[in-house]
Amino acid sequence: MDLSKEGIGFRANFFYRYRRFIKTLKIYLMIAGPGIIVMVADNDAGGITTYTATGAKFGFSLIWFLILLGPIAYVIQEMTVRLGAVTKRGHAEAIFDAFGSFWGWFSLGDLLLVNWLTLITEFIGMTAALSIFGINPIITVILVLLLLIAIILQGRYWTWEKIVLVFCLLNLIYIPAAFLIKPDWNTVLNSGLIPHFQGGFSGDLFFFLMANIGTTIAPWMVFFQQSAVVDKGMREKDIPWGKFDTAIGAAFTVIVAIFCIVVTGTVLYGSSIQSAAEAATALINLHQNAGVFLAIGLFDAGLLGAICISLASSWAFGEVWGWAHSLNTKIREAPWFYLLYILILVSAALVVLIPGAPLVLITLFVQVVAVTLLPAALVFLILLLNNEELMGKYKNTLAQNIISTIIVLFLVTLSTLYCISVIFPNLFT
Amino acid sequence: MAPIINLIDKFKTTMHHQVDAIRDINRKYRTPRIKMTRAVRLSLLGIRIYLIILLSILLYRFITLIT
Repeated sequence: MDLSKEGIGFRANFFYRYRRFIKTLKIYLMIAGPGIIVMVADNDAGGITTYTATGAKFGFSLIWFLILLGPIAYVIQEMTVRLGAVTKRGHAEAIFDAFGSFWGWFSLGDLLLVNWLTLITEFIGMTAALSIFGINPIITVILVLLLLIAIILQGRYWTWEKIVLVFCLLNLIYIPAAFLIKPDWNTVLNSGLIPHFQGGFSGDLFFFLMANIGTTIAPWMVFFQQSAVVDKGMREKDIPWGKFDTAIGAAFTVIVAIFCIVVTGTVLYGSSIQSAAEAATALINLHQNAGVFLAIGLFDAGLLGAICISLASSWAFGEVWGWAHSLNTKIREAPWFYLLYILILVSAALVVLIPGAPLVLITLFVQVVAVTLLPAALVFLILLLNNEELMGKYKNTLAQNIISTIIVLFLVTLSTLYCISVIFPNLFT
Repeated sequence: MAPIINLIDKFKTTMHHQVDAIRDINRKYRTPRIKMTRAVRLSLLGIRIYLIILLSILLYRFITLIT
Protein backbone atom coordinates (compact mmCIF):
# COMPACT_ATOMS: atom_id res chain seq x y z
CA MET A 1 0.00 0.00 0.00
CA ASP A 2 2.75 2.37 1.03
CA LEU A 3 4.82 1.34 -1.98
CA SER A 4 1.93 2.02 -4.35
CA LYS A 5 1.37 5.46 -2.76
CA GLU A 6 5.08 6.17 -3.13
CA GLY A 7 4.91 5.11 -6.80
CA ILE A 8 1.94 7.42 -7.45
CA GLY A 9 3.74 10.23 -5.65
CA PHE A 10 6.88 9.67 -7.72
CA ARG A 11 4.91 9.64 -10.99
CA ALA A 12 2.95 12.77 -10.03
CA ASN A 13 6.18 14.51 -9.09
CA PHE A 14 7.80 13.38 -12.36
CA PHE A 15 4.91 14.64 -14.50
CA TYR A 16 4.80 17.90 -12.56
CA ARG A 17 8.52 18.47 -13.21
CA TYR A 18 8.13 17.36 -16.84
CA ARG A 19 5.25 19.79 -17.43
CA ARG A 20 7.22 22.57 -15.73
CA PHE A 21 10.22 21.81 -17.90
CA ILE A 22 8.11 21.87 -21.08
CA LYS A 23 6.49 25.15 -20.00
CA THR A 24 9.91 26.69 -19.26
CA LEU A 25 11.24 25.44 -22.59
CA LYS A 26 8.25 26.97 -24.42
CA ILE A 27 8.83 30.33 -22.71
CA TYR A 28 12.52 30.17 -23.61
CA LEU A 29 11.76 29.29 -27.24
CA MET A 30 9.50 32.34 -27.43
CA ILE A 31 12.20 34.63 -26.03
CA ALA A 32 15.19 32.90 -27.71
CA GLY A 33 16.64 34.60 -30.74
CA PRO A 34 18.62 37.84 -30.49
CA GLY A 35 21.31 36.41 -28.19
CA ILE A 36 21.89 33.23 -30.16
CA ILE A 37 21.72 35.00 -33.53
CA VAL A 38 24.16 37.78 -32.64
CA MET A 39 26.65 35.38 -31.07
CA VAL A 40 26.55 32.84 -33.89
CA ALA A 41 26.73 35.59 -36.51
CA ASP A 42 29.83 36.80 -34.66
CA ASN A 43 31.47 33.71 -36.20
CA ASP A 44 31.12 35.37 -39.60
CA ALA A 45 33.33 34.83 -42.65
CA GLY A 46 36.13 36.89 -41.06
CA GLY A 47 35.79 35.00 -37.78
CA ILE A 48 35.92 31.57 -39.44
CA THR A 49 38.98 32.70 -41.43
CA THR A 50 40.69 33.73 -38.17
CA TYR A 51 39.88 30.41 -36.47
CA THR A 52 41.01 28.25 -39.42
CA ALA A 53 44.27 30.23 -39.70
CA THR A 54 44.79 29.95 -35.91
CA GLY A 55 44.27 26.17 -36.00
CA ALA A 56 46.63 25.75 -38.95
CA LYS A 57 49.32 27.88 -37.34
CA PHE A 58 49.12 26.91 -33.65
CA GLY A 59 47.24 23.58 -33.66
CA PHE A 60 45.00 23.14 -30.61
CA SER A 61 47.17 25.20 -28.28
CA LEU A 62 44.93 28.30 -28.26
CA ILE A 63 41.60 26.56 -27.55
CA TRP A 64 41.77 27.64 -23.86
CA PHE A 65 42.10 31.25 -25.03
CA LEU A 66 38.94 31.00 -27.17
CA ILE A 67 37.03 29.60 -24.18
CA LEU A 68 37.96 32.77 -22.26
CA LEU A 69 36.50 34.93 -25.04
CA GLY A 70 32.99 33.47 -24.54
CA PRO A 71 32.36 35.13 -21.13
CA ILE A 72 33.88 38.38 -22.44
CA ALA A 73 31.38 38.50 -25.31
CA TYR A 74 28.57 37.60 -22.88
CA VAL A 75 29.35 40.47 -20.47
CA ILE A 76 29.17 43.04 -23.29
CA GLN A 77 26.11 41.65 -25.06
CA GLU A 78 24.15 41.09 -21.82
CA MET A 79 24.26 44.86 -21.26
CA THR A 80 22.58 45.47 -24.63
CA VAL A 81 19.72 43.15 -23.59
CA ARG A 82 19.05 45.18 -20.43
CA LEU A 83 19.41 48.51 -22.24
CA GLY A 84 17.07 47.48 -25.07
CA ALA A 85 14.43 45.87 -22.83
CA VAL A 86 14.32 48.81 -20.39
CA THR A 87 14.58 51.80 -22.77
CA LYS A 88 12.79 50.20 -25.79
CA ARG A 89 15.34 52.04 -27.93
CA GLY A 90 18.11 50.89 -30.22
CA HIS A 91 21.73 51.79 -29.48
CA ALA A 92 21.96 54.50 -32.17
CA GLU A 93 18.91 56.35 -30.84
CA ALA A 94 20.13 55.92 -27.25
CA ILE A 95 23.50 57.52 -28.15
CA PHE A 96 21.82 60.46 -29.93
CA ASP A 97 19.50 61.01 -27.00
CA ALA A 98 22.07 60.71 -24.22
CA PHE A 99 25.21 62.20 -25.79
CA GLY A 100 23.84 64.61 -28.36
CA SER A 101 23.99 64.82 -32.14
CA PHE A 102 27.81 65.06 -32.49
CA TRP A 103 28.46 61.62 -30.96
CA GLY A 104 25.27 60.36 -32.55
CA TRP A 105 26.33 61.24 -36.11
CA PHE A 106 29.85 60.00 -35.44
CA SER A 107 28.52 56.60 -34.28
CA LEU A 108 25.92 56.32 -37.03
CA GLY A 109 28.30 57.30 -39.85
CA ASP A 110 31.08 55.07 -38.57
CA LEU A 111 28.63 52.19 -38.10
CA LEU A 112 27.36 52.50 -41.66
CA LEU A 113 30.91 52.56 -43.06
CA VAL A 114 32.28 49.68 -41.00
CA ASN A 115 29.15 47.58 -41.58
CA TRP A 116 29.28 48.16 -45.31
CA LEU A 117 32.96 47.17 -45.45
CA THR A 118 32.31 44.11 -43.27
CA LEU A 119 29.42 43.18 -45.54
CA ILE A 120 31.83 43.14 -48.48
CA THR A 121 34.03 40.67 -46.58
CA GLU A 122 30.96 38.47 -45.98
CA PHE A 123 30.28 38.41 -49.72
CA ILE A 124 33.97 37.63 -50.36
CA GLY A 125 33.62 34.66 -47.97
CA MET A 126 30.37 33.43 -49.53
CA THR A 127 31.58 33.67 -53.14
CA ALA A 128 34.89 32.00 -52.23
CA ALA A 129 33.04 29.18 -50.42
CA LEU A 130 30.74 28.42 -53.34
CA SER A 131 33.57 28.80 -55.87
CA ILE A 132 34.95 25.58 -54.34
CA PHE A 133 31.85 23.83 -55.74
CA GLY A 134 32.35 25.51 -59.12
CA ILE A 135 29.59 28.09 -58.66
CA ASN A 136 30.22 31.39 -60.42
CA PRO A 137 30.47 34.39 -58.02
CA ILE A 138 27.80 36.25 -60.02
CA ILE A 139 25.30 33.42 -59.47
CA THR A 140 26.26 33.23 -55.77
CA VAL A 141 25.73 36.96 -55.32
CA ILE A 142 22.34 36.93 -57.10
CA LEU A 143 21.08 33.91 -55.13
CA VAL A 144 22.28 35.36 -51.81
CA LEU A 145 20.66 38.73 -52.53
CA LEU A 146 17.35 37.07 -53.44
CA LEU A 147 17.47 34.95 -50.29
CA LEU A 148 18.38 37.86 -48.00
CA ILE A 149 15.64 40.05 -49.45
CA ALA A 150 13.05 37.25 -49.35
CA ILE A 151 13.54 36.47 -45.66
CA ILE A 152 12.82 40.03 -44.53
CA LEU A 153 9.92 40.75 -46.85
CA GLN A 154 7.48 38.32 -45.21
CA GLY A 155 6.62 41.08 -42.71
CA ARG A 156 7.02 39.26 -39.39
CA TYR A 157 9.96 39.50 -36.97
CA TRP A 158 9.11 36.06 -35.55
CA THR A 159 9.33 34.31 -38.94
CA TRP A 160 12.57 36.11 -39.81
CA GLU A 161 14.07 35.08 -36.48
CA LYS A 162 13.15 31.40 -36.83
CA ILE A 163 14.56 31.26 -40.38
CA VAL A 164 17.82 32.81 -39.15
CA LEU A 165 17.95 30.35 -36.23
CA VAL A 166 17.93 27.50 -38.80
CA PHE A 167 21.01 29.07 -40.42
CA CYS A 168 22.51 29.31 -36.92
CA LEU A 169 22.02 25.55 -36.49
CA LEU A 170 23.83 24.98 -39.80
CA ASN A 171 26.82 26.75 -38.25
CA LEU A 172 27.26 23.62 -36.11
CA ILE A 173 28.49 21.82 -39.24
CA TYR A 174 32.04 22.17 -37.91
CA ILE A 175 31.23 19.58 -35.24
CA PRO A 176 30.58 16.66 -37.66
CA ALA A 177 33.50 17.95 -39.78
CA ALA A 178 35.78 17.54 -36.76
CA PHE A 179 34.50 14.03 -36.03
CA LEU A 180 34.95 13.04 -39.70
CA ILE A 181 38.68 13.68 -39.61
CA LYS A 182 39.04 11.65 -36.38
CA PRO A 183 41.37 13.84 -34.32
CA ASP A 184 43.23 12.45 -31.33
CA TRP A 185 40.89 13.80 -28.63
CA ASN A 186 43.45 13.20 -25.88
CA THR A 187 45.88 15.50 -27.65
CA VAL A 188 43.10 18.05 -28.26
CA LEU A 189 42.20 18.10 -24.56
CA ASN A 190 45.77 18.01 -23.24
CA SER A 191 47.07 20.62 -25.64
CA GLY A 192 43.96 22.78 -25.81
CA LEU A 193 42.65 23.09 -22.28
CA ILE A 194 45.88 23.84 -20.40
CA PRO A 195 46.71 27.54 -20.74
CA HIS A 196 50.10 27.88 -22.39
CA PHE A 197 51.74 29.58 -25.36
CA GLN A 198 53.21 26.94 -27.62
CA GLY A 199 56.76 27.85 -28.63
CA GLY A 200 56.80 30.87 -26.28
CA PHE A 201 55.35 34.32 -26.71
CA SER A 202 56.20 35.64 -30.16
CA GLY A 203 55.11 38.47 -32.41
CA ASP A 204 53.19 36.00 -34.58
CA LEU A 205 51.35 34.60 -31.59
CA PHE A 206 50.49 38.08 -30.35
CA PHE A 207 49.08 38.95 -33.79
CA PHE A 208 46.84 35.86 -33.72
CA LEU A 209 45.67 36.56 -30.15
CA MET A 210 44.72 40.08 -31.18
CA ALA A 211 42.95 38.81 -34.32
CA ASN A 212 40.88 36.36 -32.23
CA ILE A 213 39.95 39.11 -29.78
CA GLY A 214 39.13 41.39 -32.71
CA THR A 215 36.54 38.87 -33.92
CA THR A 216 34.97 38.52 -30.44
CA ILE A 217 33.17 41.85 -30.27
CA ALA A 218 32.41 43.96 -33.33
CA PRO A 219 30.57 47.31 -33.13
CA TRP A 220 27.62 45.99 -35.16
CA MET A 221 26.90 43.36 -32.49
CA VAL A 222 26.08 45.99 -29.86
CA PHE A 223 23.77 47.86 -32.24
CA PHE A 224 22.20 44.70 -33.67
CA GLN A 225 21.26 42.96 -30.42
CA GLN A 226 19.80 46.05 -28.80
CA SER A 227 17.65 46.78 -31.87
CA ALA A 228 16.62 43.11 -32.13
CA VAL A 229 15.56 43.10 -28.46
CA VAL A 230 13.43 46.20 -29.14
CA ASP A 231 11.94 44.84 -32.39
CA LYS A 232 11.10 41.54 -30.67
CA GLY A 233 9.24 43.53 -28.03
CA MET A 234 11.15 42.17 -25.04
CA ARG A 235 10.21 43.73 -21.70
CA GLU A 236 11.93 44.06 -18.32
CA LYS A 237 10.47 40.75 -17.14
CA ASP A 238 12.11 39.01 -20.13
CA ILE A 239 15.62 40.18 -19.18
CA PRO A 240 16.60 36.94 -17.35
CA TRP A 241 15.57 34.95 -20.45
CA GLY A 242 17.43 37.38 -22.69
CA LYS A 243 20.54 36.89 -20.56
CA PHE A 244 20.13 33.12 -20.74
CA ASP A 245 19.70 33.35 -24.52
CA THR A 246 22.90 35.39 -24.75
CA ALA A 247 24.77 32.88 -22.56
CA ILE A 248 23.60 29.99 -24.78
CA GLY A 249 24.75 32.00 -27.83
CA ALA A 250 28.16 32.67 -26.24
CA ALA A 251 28.59 28.93 -25.54
CA PHE A 252 27.47 28.19 -29.09
CA THR A 253 30.00 30.57 -30.64
CA VAL A 254 32.89 29.18 -28.56
CA ILE A 255 31.96 25.58 -29.45
CA VAL A 256 31.91 26.42 -33.18
CA ALA A 257 35.28 28.20 -32.90
CA ILE A 258 36.82 25.25 -31.02
CA PHE A 259 35.65 22.66 -33.56
CA CYS A 260 36.85 24.87 -36.39
CA ILE A 261 40.30 24.92 -34.79
CA VAL A 262 40.16 21.15 -34.19
CA VAL A 263 39.54 20.60 -37.95
CA THR A 264 42.40 22.75 -39.24
CA GLY A 265 44.66 21.95 -36.25
CA THR A 266 44.39 18.23 -37.07
CA VAL A 267 44.73 18.26 -40.82
CA LEU A 268 46.45 21.50 -41.77
CA TYR A 269 48.71 22.06 -38.76
CA GLY A 270 51.98 23.68 -39.81
CA SER A 271 50.66 25.13 -43.07
CA SER A 272 50.20 28.82 -43.67
CA ILE A 273 46.50 29.40 -44.30
CA GLN A 274 45.37 32.89 -45.33
CA SER A 275 41.62 32.32 -45.64
CA ALA A 276 38.90 29.84 -44.70
CA ALA A 277 38.25 29.13 -48.41
CA GLU A 278 41.93 28.22 -48.84
CA ALA A 279 41.62 25.90 -45.82
CA ALA A 280 38.50 24.26 -47.28
CA THR A 281 40.22 23.72 -50.66
CA ALA A 282 43.30 22.23 -49.00
CA LEU A 283 41.08 20.07 -46.80
CA ILE A 284 39.04 18.74 -49.74
CA ASN A 285 42.24 17.29 -51.22
CA LEU A 286 42.96 15.46 -47.95
CA HIS A 287 39.47 14.65 -46.70
CA GLN A 288 36.71 15.48 -49.13
CA ASN A 289 33.68 15.42 -46.81
CA ALA A 290 35.34 17.51 -44.08
CA GLY A 291 36.47 20.01 -46.70
CA VAL A 292 32.95 20.25 -48.12
CA PHE A 293 31.57 20.80 -44.59
CA LEU A 294 34.13 23.55 -44.01
CA ALA A 295 33.11 25.29 -47.25
CA ILE A 296 29.39 25.02 -46.36
CA GLY A 297 30.17 26.39 -42.90
CA LEU A 298 32.05 29.33 -44.42
CA PHE A 299 29.12 30.14 -46.72
CA ASP A 300 26.67 29.93 -43.82
CA ALA A 301 28.92 32.14 -41.66
CA GLY A 302 29.04 34.80 -44.40
CA LEU A 303 25.27 34.58 -44.87
CA LEU A 304 24.53 35.02 -41.15
CA GLY A 305 26.97 37.91 -40.95
CA ALA A 306 25.35 39.57 -43.97
CA ILE A 307 21.83 39.17 -42.53
CA CYS A 308 22.73 40.73 -39.18
CA ILE A 309 25.07 43.46 -40.37
CA SER A 310 22.73 44.86 -43.02
CA LEU A 311 19.85 44.83 -40.53
CA ALA A 312 21.95 46.53 -37.84
CA SER A 313 22.55 49.46 -40.21
CA SER A 314 18.91 49.72 -41.32
CA TRP A 315 17.60 49.55 -37.76
CA ALA A 316 20.08 52.22 -36.60
CA PHE A 317 19.12 54.60 -39.44
CA GLY A 318 15.41 53.96 -38.95
CA GLU A 319 15.67 54.77 -35.23
CA VAL A 320 17.44 58.08 -35.78
CA TRP A 321 15.51 59.23 -38.86
CA GLY A 322 12.24 58.29 -37.24
CA TRP A 323 11.23 55.93 -40.06
CA ALA A 324 9.14 52.88 -39.33
CA HIS A 325 11.89 50.33 -38.77
CA SER A 326 10.44 47.04 -37.65
CA LEU A 327 10.52 43.66 -39.34
CA ASN A 328 6.88 43.42 -38.28
CA THR A 329 5.98 46.08 -40.85
CA LYS A 330 5.17 45.60 -44.52
CA ILE A 331 7.17 47.32 -47.29
CA ARG A 332 4.39 49.88 -47.79
CA GLU A 333 4.55 50.81 -44.10
CA ALA A 334 8.36 51.06 -43.85
CA PRO A 335 9.67 51.70 -47.39
CA TRP A 336 12.86 53.56 -46.37
CA PHE A 337 13.85 50.90 -43.87
CA TYR A 338 13.60 48.11 -46.45
CA LEU A 339 15.08 50.25 -49.24
CA LEU A 340 18.16 51.01 -47.14
CA TYR A 341 18.53 47.31 -46.24
CA ILE A 342 18.41 46.35 -49.93
CA LEU A 343 20.71 49.23 -51.02
CA ILE A 344 23.35 48.31 -48.45
CA LEU A 345 23.26 44.66 -49.53
CA VAL A 346 23.28 45.29 -53.28
CA SER A 347 26.07 47.90 -53.15
CA ALA A 348 28.31 45.63 -51.04
CA ALA A 349 27.60 42.67 -53.34
CA LEU A 350 28.46 44.70 -56.45
CA VAL A 351 31.90 45.62 -55.05
CA VAL A 352 32.82 41.92 -54.87
CA LEU A 353 31.94 41.53 -58.55
CA ILE A 354 34.10 44.46 -59.73
CA PRO A 355 37.06 42.92 -61.57
CA GLY A 356 40.30 43.82 -59.79
CA ALA A 357 38.58 45.34 -56.75
CA PRO A 358 41.08 45.66 -53.84
CA LEU A 359 39.36 42.98 -51.74
CA VAL A 360 42.40 42.21 -49.56
CA LEU A 361 42.81 45.91 -48.80
CA ILE A 362 39.09 46.14 -47.91
CA THR A 363 39.41 43.15 -45.55
CA LEU A 364 42.31 44.84 -43.76
CA PHE A 365 40.58 48.23 -43.77
CA VAL A 366 37.59 46.72 -41.91
CA GLN A 367 39.79 46.16 -38.84
CA VAL A 368 41.01 49.75 -38.93
CA VAL A 369 37.59 51.37 -39.24
CA ALA A 370 36.02 49.02 -36.67
CA VAL A 371 38.57 50.16 -34.08
CA THR A 372 37.53 53.79 -34.54
CA LEU A 373 33.97 52.91 -33.48
CA LEU A 374 34.41 50.08 -30.97
CA PRO A 375 35.74 52.11 -27.97
CA ALA A 376 33.04 54.76 -28.34
CA ALA A 377 30.25 52.16 -28.67
CA LEU A 378 31.45 50.22 -25.62
CA VAL A 379 32.10 53.28 -23.44
CA PHE A 380 28.66 54.70 -24.33
CA LEU A 381 27.15 51.33 -23.42
CA ILE A 382 28.68 51.37 -19.92
CA LEU A 383 27.74 55.03 -19.38
CA LEU A 384 24.14 54.37 -20.42
CA LEU A 385 23.96 51.31 -18.17
CA ASN A 386 25.02 53.56 -15.24
CA ASN A 387 22.32 56.13 -15.85
CA GLU A 388 19.84 55.57 -13.02
CA GLU A 389 17.23 57.85 -14.58
CA LEU A 390 17.27 55.65 -17.69
CA MET A 391 17.85 52.18 -16.24
CA GLY A 392 16.25 52.35 -12.78
CA LYS A 393 16.87 49.11 -10.89
CA TYR A 394 18.43 47.52 -13.97
CA LYS A 395 21.49 49.78 -13.93
CA ASN A 396 24.95 48.22 -13.57
CA THR A 397 26.01 47.12 -10.11
CA LEU A 398 29.51 47.93 -8.81
CA ALA A 399 30.71 44.40 -9.63
CA GLN A 400 29.24 44.61 -13.16
CA ASN A 401 30.95 47.98 -13.65
CA ILE A 402 34.33 46.67 -12.52
CA ILE A 403 34.11 43.58 -14.74
CA SER A 404 32.74 45.41 -17.80
CA THR A 405 35.28 48.26 -17.47
CA ILE A 406 38.19 45.79 -17.29
CA ILE A 407 36.82 43.90 -20.30
CA VAL A 408 36.26 47.09 -22.30
CA LEU A 409 39.81 48.33 -21.54
CA PHE A 410 41.18 44.90 -22.50
CA LEU A 411 39.16 44.77 -25.75
CA VAL A 412 39.97 48.35 -26.74
CA THR A 413 43.71 47.97 -26.03
CA LEU A 414 44.12 44.72 -27.94
CA SER A 415 41.83 45.73 -30.82
CA THR A 416 43.81 48.96 -31.18
CA LEU A 417 47.10 47.04 -31.18
CA TYR A 418 45.63 44.72 -33.80
CA CYS A 419 44.61 47.72 -35.91
CA ILE A 420 48.14 49.17 -35.58
CA SER A 421 49.67 45.81 -36.52
CA VAL A 422 47.47 45.80 -39.65
CA ILE A 423 48.68 49.30 -40.54
CA PHE A 424 52.33 48.50 -39.71
CA PRO A 425 52.61 44.77 -40.57
CA ASN A 426 56.24 44.38 -39.35
CA LEU A 427 55.70 45.96 -35.95
CA PHE A 428 55.15 42.78 -33.92
CA THR A 429 57.11 40.27 -36.02
CA MET B 1 13.47 65.59 -71.78
CA ALA B 2 10.41 66.11 -69.57
CA PRO B 3 10.78 62.80 -67.68
CA ILE B 4 14.42 63.62 -66.91
CA ILE B 5 13.46 67.06 -65.58
CA ASN B 6 10.72 65.44 -63.49
CA LEU B 7 13.25 62.97 -62.13
CA ILE B 8 15.69 65.76 -61.25
CA ASP B 9 12.88 67.69 -59.53
CA LYS B 10 11.89 64.62 -57.54
CA PHE B 11 15.52 64.06 -56.55
CA LYS B 12 15.85 67.70 -55.47
CA THR B 13 12.68 67.46 -53.37
CA THR B 14 13.88 64.24 -51.73
CA MET B 15 17.26 65.81 -50.96
CA HIS B 16 15.53 68.88 -49.46
CA HIS B 17 13.41 66.57 -47.29
CA GLN B 18 16.52 64.74 -46.13
CA VAL B 19 18.34 67.98 -45.27
CA ASP B 20 15.26 69.09 -43.32
CA ALA B 21 15.21 65.73 -41.56
CA ILE B 22 18.88 66.12 -40.57
CA ARG B 23 18.13 69.62 -39.23
CA ASP B 24 15.21 68.22 -37.23
CA ILE B 25 17.42 65.45 -35.79
CA ASN B 26 20.10 67.99 -34.83
CA ARG B 27 17.47 70.17 -33.17
CA LYS B 28 15.90 67.22 -31.35
CA TYR B 29 19.21 65.95 -29.97
CA ARG B 30 20.95 69.30 -29.52
CA THR B 31 21.38 68.91 -25.76
CA PRO B 32 22.76 65.64 -24.38
CA ARG B 33 20.27 64.23 -21.90
CA ILE B 34 22.79 62.30 -19.85
CA LYS B 35 23.85 63.92 -16.59
CA MET B 36 27.34 65.30 -17.21
CA THR B 37 29.09 63.84 -14.17
CA ARG B 38 32.86 63.82 -13.86
CA ALA B 39 32.97 60.18 -15.04
CA VAL B 40 30.95 60.99 -18.17
CA ARG B 41 33.09 64.05 -18.99
CA LEU B 42 36.31 62.07 -18.49
CA SER B 43 35.04 59.20 -20.64
CA LEU B 44 34.06 61.52 -23.49
CA LEU B 45 37.42 63.29 -23.24
CA GLY B 46 39.16 59.90 -23.29
CA ILE B 47 37.31 58.87 -26.48
CA ARG B 48 38.18 62.22 -28.13
CA ILE B 49 41.89 61.83 -27.28
CA TYR B 50 41.83 58.19 -28.42
CA LEU B 51 40.27 59.13 -31.75
CA ILE B 52 42.70 62.02 -32.33
CA ILE B 53 45.70 59.72 -31.67
CA LEU B 54 44.29 56.94 -33.85
CA LEU B 55 43.46 59.28 -36.72
CA SER B 56 46.94 60.85 -36.45
CA ILE B 57 48.52 57.38 -36.77
CA LEU B 58 46.30 56.61 -39.78
CA LEU B 59 47.17 59.95 -41.37
CA TYR B 60 50.88 59.38 -40.73
CA ARG B 61 50.66 55.93 -42.36
CA PHE B 62 48.74 57.33 -45.30
CA ILE B 63 51.31 60.09 -45.88
CA THR B 64 54.29 57.70 -45.55
CA LEU B 65 52.62 55.28 -47.98
CA ILE B 66 52.13 58.02 -50.57
CA THR B 67 55.60 59.50 -50.21
